[in-house]
Amino acid sequence: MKDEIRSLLPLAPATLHILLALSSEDRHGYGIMQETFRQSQGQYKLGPGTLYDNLDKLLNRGLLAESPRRAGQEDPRRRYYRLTEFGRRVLAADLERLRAVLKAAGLGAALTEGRKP
Amino acid sequence: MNRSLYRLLVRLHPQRFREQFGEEMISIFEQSHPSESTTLIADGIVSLLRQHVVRSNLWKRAAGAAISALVICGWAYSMGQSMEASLIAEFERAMKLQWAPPAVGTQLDKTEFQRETASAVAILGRIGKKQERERRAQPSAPHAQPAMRAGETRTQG
Repeated sequence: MKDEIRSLLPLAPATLHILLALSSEDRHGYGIMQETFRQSQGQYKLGPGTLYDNLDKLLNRGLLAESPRRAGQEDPRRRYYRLTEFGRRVLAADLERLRAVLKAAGLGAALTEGRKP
Repeated sequence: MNRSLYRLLVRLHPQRFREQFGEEMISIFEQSHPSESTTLIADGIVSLLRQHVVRSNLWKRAAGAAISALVICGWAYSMGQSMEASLIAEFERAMKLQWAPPAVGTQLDKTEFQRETASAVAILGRIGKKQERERRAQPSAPHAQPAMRAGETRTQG
């Protein structure tokens, strides 16, 4: 399992944002795009082509699964996606990797500025 | 106009992808602000190329064909080079043989060859004369029949 997770790292920015967007709740495609835009404070905007290409890959690799359609007044074309347990582990592993990168970056910055880390 | 173009782009995607995500893509396009339509169309074009070229492994086949063509061209070029080199070497060797000035050893050999040739010719001449004398001295063969003259008939018994 660990090797399988490691083989997927590091995650591409689009993949990371999609997994992050789905980590809090199930969302449809447009919801994922909006959440990604919000998370990145308007810096990163996913297009539908990029979004669904990534969703296709993540569904095939078992990181995401489709949620049951919701009844109501919503557009019937919308489909909801959720993070699987495997997807959650992959996301956690990548966040851990990013934490290590940030720590190293902080250490590097401290050394550059002549401060004690 | 933009909506029709986007629908066309979605329709041009591979069937599996289109059936799974096509309607959602169109739904997102319809919900988006009109000012974003150009960006979304550009994204649709990139997605179309990605699905047809990258995801269908077309690029792998194209890369394989390109590498094979390069290998074949390289091999043909190296063969041509080696053939050309060997032809040049052969030509130079032929030219040297034809135009090389005679060496001292070669000159001596030539003189010797001329002397030997003259000697061999003399010996052959002597042998020929001897054979001629022997032929003249030999009587005609006992069973040899004289040639018939015209009009003669040979009787049996």
